[in-house]
Amino acid sequence: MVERTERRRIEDGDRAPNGREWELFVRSDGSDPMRHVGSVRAADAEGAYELATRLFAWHAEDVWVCPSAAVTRYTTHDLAEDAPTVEPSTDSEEPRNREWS
Amino acid sequence: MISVSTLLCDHAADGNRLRYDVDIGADNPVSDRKQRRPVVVWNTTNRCNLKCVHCYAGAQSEPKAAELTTAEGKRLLDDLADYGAPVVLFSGGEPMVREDLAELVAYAAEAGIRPVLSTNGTLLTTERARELKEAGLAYAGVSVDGLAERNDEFRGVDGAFRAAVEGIETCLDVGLKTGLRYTVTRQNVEDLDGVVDLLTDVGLDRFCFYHLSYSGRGETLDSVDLDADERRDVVKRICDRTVRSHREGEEIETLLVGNYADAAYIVEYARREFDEAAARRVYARLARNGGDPTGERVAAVDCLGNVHPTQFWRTYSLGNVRDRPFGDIWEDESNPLLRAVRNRPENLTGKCADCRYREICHGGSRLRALAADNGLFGPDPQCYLDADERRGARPTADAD
Repeated sequence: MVERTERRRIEDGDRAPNGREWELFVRSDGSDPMRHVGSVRAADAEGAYELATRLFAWHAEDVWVCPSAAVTRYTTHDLAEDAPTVEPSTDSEEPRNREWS
Repeated sequence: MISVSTLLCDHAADGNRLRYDVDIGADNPVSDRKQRRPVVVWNTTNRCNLKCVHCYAGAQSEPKAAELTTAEGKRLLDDLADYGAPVVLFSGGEPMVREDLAELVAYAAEAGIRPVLSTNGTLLTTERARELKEAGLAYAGVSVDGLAERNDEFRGVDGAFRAAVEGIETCLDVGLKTGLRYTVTRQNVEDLDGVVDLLTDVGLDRFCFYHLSYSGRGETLDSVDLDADERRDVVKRICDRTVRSHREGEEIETLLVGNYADAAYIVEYARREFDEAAARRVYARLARNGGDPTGERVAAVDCLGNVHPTQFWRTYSLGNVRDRPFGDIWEDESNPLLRAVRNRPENLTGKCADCRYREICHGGSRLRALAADNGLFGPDPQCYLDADERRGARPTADAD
């Protein structure tokens, strides 16, 4: 168990200046975890999948796409100083275990 | 960018240390570490006061919500400075519509990053040009895409040509280094010499010629793109003009951007117009440069913080600087696409696979290869080299 980490919530919303942004996950083998490999810009899920396969088909067995706007992000990285901080709980520790690392 | 004037005429220019590892003086601030880091294009806004038909960013008149704020921009510049980025290119949309541009330029300069600007030039008043120069701006590239009538038609606004030329004159008046950006298409290729003549007369000495990128609104313009013969002809004209001007004592700087078949062409040009030793020297410098810079020596951050392998590859992002520092995203080669793009000479297919120039070309644009359905590592449809040029013994790179 370790101390709870202070994170900020990143502003929600779509991340494409034009169109829609889709977070992209792939894995090269059924036994691997899905890996986040960035995002693609497309009008809909089918378009995002089509673009993703053109970029990753040589590598990926499985491809998932998810609307960027549907992801709520909490991060320790503080590009936006004025982003609201999510106060860590003071009465508990974060259930991560770093003893193994 | 390929410096025709440096390769063919040994023209000394500020960017040569980054491009060709050419020493330009003891006071050159570019460290070896910075040479290995990418030039970062920051598309600071998607807003623009013009409506260019070929805009790679698909810029619009209305602001996009959640563009990076001034504070976020400064944090980004801190990240870039920590990572060792040598140059940040403020671009857009039209970066001059951001009222905090001079503040960001000053912040970059203070952080040790060389700030440069890409603009349509129409908002470069004397006051703002002077403000940017005093903030530390090192260079302003101004886009003009034809003589008055054609340029204004391209840009969607009457008077854009006159305003851009006045912007260039204003930069020259206040002592801000400036140059032309000209995207060559079938529609404006006839105007190229006229534009260069006109701007030479007002005192300009730096000219960058861009090949059309298939992204943004340019994605739908392949019908106006030059064919192989037209492209070869215009590149030859640019080489000829550069060599002629230097022989006549005019030290103009000319660069070709966006198509690394030009690198191979310039080697062939040097062999034909000069001799084999000249061709080997040109090849050696280009080999140090490494070919198309996508995912390696050029990076882009868009107005919402997405990191792209180049400013033209808008439909794919490696990550977002609101989530992770730029350096972490750029160094993350657990991404198989980034890893493969950085290892292109081994992955190229089709006619590129055994091309003798693949080390100085890297297969050209991956975006255009994808647009032509040639596959991620297939040939760039803008390659205009013929079979004889692609085959045969590769020039050795040890002659510089």
